[in-house]
Amino acid sequence: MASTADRLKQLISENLEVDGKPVGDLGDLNVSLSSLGVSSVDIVAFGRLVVKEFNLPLTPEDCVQIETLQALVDRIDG
Amino acid sequence: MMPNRVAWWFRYRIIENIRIYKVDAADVGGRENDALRWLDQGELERWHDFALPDSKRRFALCRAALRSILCDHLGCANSELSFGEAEKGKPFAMVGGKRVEVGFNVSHSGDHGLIAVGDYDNLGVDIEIRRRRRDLDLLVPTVMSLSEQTHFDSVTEDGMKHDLFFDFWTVKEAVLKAIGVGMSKFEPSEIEVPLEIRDGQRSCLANFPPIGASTWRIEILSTLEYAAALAFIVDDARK
Ligand SMILES: CC(C)(COP(=O)(O)OP(=O)(O)OC[C@H]1O[C@@H](n2cnc3c(N)ncnc32)[C@H](O)[C@@H]1OP(=O)(O)O)[C@@H](O)C(=O)NCCC(=O)NCCS
Repeated sequence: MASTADRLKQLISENLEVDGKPVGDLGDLNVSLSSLGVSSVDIVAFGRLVVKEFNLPLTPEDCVQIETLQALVDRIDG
Repeated sequence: MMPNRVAWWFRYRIIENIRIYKVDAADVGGRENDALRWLDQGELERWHDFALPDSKRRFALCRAALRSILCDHLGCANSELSFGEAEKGKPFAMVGGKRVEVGFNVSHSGDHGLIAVGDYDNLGVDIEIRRRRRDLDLLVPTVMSLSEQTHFDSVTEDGMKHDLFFDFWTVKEAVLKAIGVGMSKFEPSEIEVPLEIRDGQRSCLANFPPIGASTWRIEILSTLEYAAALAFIVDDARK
């Protein structure tokens, strides 16, 4: 079974876009979506995917508190 | 005013004393370097941290334009101007380290930026380039209320559905940016686009009960290329 980090990386490489262009493969998950330049509409869309993929409840407030993608992995695993 | 080159922003509308500026954030030789000269240390660090060149450029060009516009508006030098952040990240202006009473908000998407500046504290703008999304089915139930979804479902042409999505989104986000919470406090579906706007009007007064009893004005600034909206409170029932 793939690790949460690998599943999240795959979700990102298949879905996450900036200006309609794929973000591509992320080596390091210690980044925030805003430092990648992801817009709020894409953050909301990505949030929905995470909810579906990991069956994880995620409120708008959670999205703000989870600052980096690594923090999201920790939250999913926690 | 920036030295040597023609400014990449211009004022194009005034609505109730709110000045609205368009920023051309396209990659035009040398502009980004000019812009960087206007940013302070913290802003340069932010610029550095953006992972993608387009995001860097958009931030630098919009922030430098904002600085120039606010310096004119407040009658201060660029070196005296700095920004603080409210709890959820909405920036406010400071001159000589002291907060000043000016309302402003910035939005950028693709090669476009919008800046609104005025005496209203609670003002918000949002702009989104219209582009085809593969995930509308996923987004619509999160972003739209049931009555908005009924309106959306009544539109059959695919391109119009995409347009409508962005038109609705920018109104909601402009409202949430005006009160400074962005997408952090309310689900976008809780902020319902006023019926007048859904019916095609480009300006109306509105109420958003989940936020409070205040009266708002909504202005649509959209073009064929992008959806955009301005929202501000005209009568603040919260005070
Ligand atoms: C901040 C936020 C409003 C930006 O939206 P966006 O569509 O990606 O970006 P826009 O171009 O419209 O706006 C960016 C500008 O808004 C301003 N801004 C930042 N935080 C803001 C806030 N809380 N309220 C109003 N304006 C804000 C800034 O000036 C920023 O410009 P800058 O990059 O020059 O600093 C949005 O991402 C948000 O709500 N974030 C916080 C919560 C979050 O991430 N939620 C995700 C839910 S799953």
